[in-house]
Amino acid sequence: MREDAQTSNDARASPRLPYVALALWVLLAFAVPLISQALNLVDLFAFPLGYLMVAQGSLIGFVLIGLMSARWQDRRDARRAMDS
Amino acid sequence: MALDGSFGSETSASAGASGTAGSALFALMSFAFVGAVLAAGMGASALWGDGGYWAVGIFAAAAVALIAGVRLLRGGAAPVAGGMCIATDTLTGAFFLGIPGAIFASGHDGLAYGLGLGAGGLLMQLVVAPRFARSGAVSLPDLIRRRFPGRVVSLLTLAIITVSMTALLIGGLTAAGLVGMRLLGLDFATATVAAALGVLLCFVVRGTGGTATVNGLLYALLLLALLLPVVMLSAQWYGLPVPQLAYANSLWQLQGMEENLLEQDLADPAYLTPMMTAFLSLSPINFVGLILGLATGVAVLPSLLSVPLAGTSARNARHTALWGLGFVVLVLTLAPAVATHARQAIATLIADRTAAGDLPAWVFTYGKLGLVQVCGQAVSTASMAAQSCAALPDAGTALRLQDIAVDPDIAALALPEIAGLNGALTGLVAIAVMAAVIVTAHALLGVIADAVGLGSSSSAAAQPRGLRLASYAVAASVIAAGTVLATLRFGSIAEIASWGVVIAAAGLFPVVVAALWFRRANTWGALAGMIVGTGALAAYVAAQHYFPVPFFEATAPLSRGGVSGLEYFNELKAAWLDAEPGAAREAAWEALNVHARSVADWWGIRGPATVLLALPLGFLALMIVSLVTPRPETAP
Repeated sequence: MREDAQTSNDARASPRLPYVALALWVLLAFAVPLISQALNLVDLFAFPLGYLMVAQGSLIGFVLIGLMSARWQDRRDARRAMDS
Repeated sequence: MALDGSFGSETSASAGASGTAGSALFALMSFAFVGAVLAAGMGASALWGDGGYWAVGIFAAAAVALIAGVRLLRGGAAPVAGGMCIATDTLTGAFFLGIPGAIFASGHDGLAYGLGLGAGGLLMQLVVAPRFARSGAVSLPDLIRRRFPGRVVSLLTLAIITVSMTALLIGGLTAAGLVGMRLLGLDFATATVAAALGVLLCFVVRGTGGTATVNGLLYALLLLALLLPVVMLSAQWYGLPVPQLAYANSLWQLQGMEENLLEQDLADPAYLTPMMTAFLSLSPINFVGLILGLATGVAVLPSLLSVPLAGTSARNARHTALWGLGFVVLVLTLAPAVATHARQAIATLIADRTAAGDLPAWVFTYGKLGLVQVCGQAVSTASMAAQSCAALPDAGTALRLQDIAVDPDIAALALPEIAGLNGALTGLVAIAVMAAVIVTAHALLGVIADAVGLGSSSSAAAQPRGLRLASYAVAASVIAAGTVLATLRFGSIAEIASWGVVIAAAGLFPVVVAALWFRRANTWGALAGMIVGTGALAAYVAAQHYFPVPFFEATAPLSRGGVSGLEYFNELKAAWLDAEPGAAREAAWEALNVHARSVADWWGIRGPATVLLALPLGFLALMIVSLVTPRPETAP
């Protein structure tokens, strides 16, 4: 009995693809570098924005996306664990 | 089992794991502390008495150790220690020197390497790590063996892993060779062989198994080695000890200086690669393609998919990968600052009209080793430099920017000396690189031994003697091949190492994603995906390089050369056909070949960006073949 409950719980908690995070990943890794010249028209912290994004901004963005996604998935898993 | 799925027991379960991780972290913290204190004393005494800025700079490094410590006390140490391990194994000695070098050499376009590694870290966290952890596999070859059983698949996996890991090893050995040159004053080949012996020794001592988490210890050293010089320079030059922000000043000053030098005819526009101008050396499609190749490659890099991610809960794996990403990004955001500061210091020499006889000592330290050339010659003394520059056909009174040519791969290593900081800081970078190369090579060799079937799950002591000796033989032959190839230096470190990652991307990314996310995928599909992925990569690159003429003729409409490229090609071809047999005909063929090489591409795709073709083809082949062959017997 206990074994069965454990397995079904596992199947439910099986990680899903985080589509929103992946879309943001595409945006930061590929779209931003391609439009960096347009972004350069804006300055941030004395950097041209496009350059700043390619050099550091996107990288920091990746960490934030990872953080949000991990939190969101942890919460969802916890909710499922409680439901079952 | 307790780790999997249940959340109440998370802390108690990881308490077992944190036995080793905990001690590792303690060692790490004391290590970072000792390093920081040593450097603080050294720097404060040697540089300037104003310790205020300095303390803030150290704070960044200490904060990492501190966060790790807090997590440790709360019992959640495993993801942090695992993250440090992943960060060290991602950066390796190769990218640690190679990425600042690439930015130093090609300005904006060199940023693609760092962006690719960071994007790969996130992709691994989102797509690969959680399900890999739940799959029960202990390594990537193990995952493929379980999910797609079959001898041919295993052999193909072994081939791809061997090529990919060897390329990364070559990058590492090149970095270690450069460091050895500087520290020991040896020539490059000897220094590389010495490093290779270190790698082999380390592998023999640790065996194929062992706790890879220990690699994480090195992360603090890597961070500190890169952080200290740039924090000092930021504080010294701009009064702001946050290099990621302060180097904006450096960027603009460099830009201004380079424009001035151009106006005064002291810089060659062909040689100059402005830091903030995009797409000078890589076209946009190749820039994005390189990022994609590195990202998908790092996400499935066989040397990363091991101990810290294997056999844990999905949640734990997710957080481990996240910490790894964070640690990698912390180092990567420093790389542009390192490159900019080095370039600024060199441009300042030219702008100040330094005479060839008055060049600073570092020019000759590295000149002696052939890593810096003054006026096209490796010089070891000031008088030699003056002679060399006077001998130039267009010798002017002042040095020009292109007259001081620094090997880009030493930019990070030499920055403290170039910028006039304490030379001990170069020593720190050197220690970090050597240690990282030797320690991360263990993961590269271990996964090859695993793919051969010599097992990585059991510890070295538990392994039968025969298997252990066999794994040494495998490691030794890989190291020997890597050393020979490294001494040829056929590219910059970043280029060589990223080929290793890109080969893993083309060959393994579709298969690993299918293994984790596509139940219908079967062995036939996996086989097709690997063959088509690596085949497309190899065929395209080889055709472009070795058979450009037939390649261009067959696919001219796809080329970015356009109408003018085609017309010129036809002209050259007619010239070749008309030429008299003999030297003239050979010269005409050579001209035709050179032109064809410059236009033989599809949509302008070249080099590592070929994954833009290989990945979709690999995925397509995998899906189609899987769907037309029977359903796999074992469910994932």
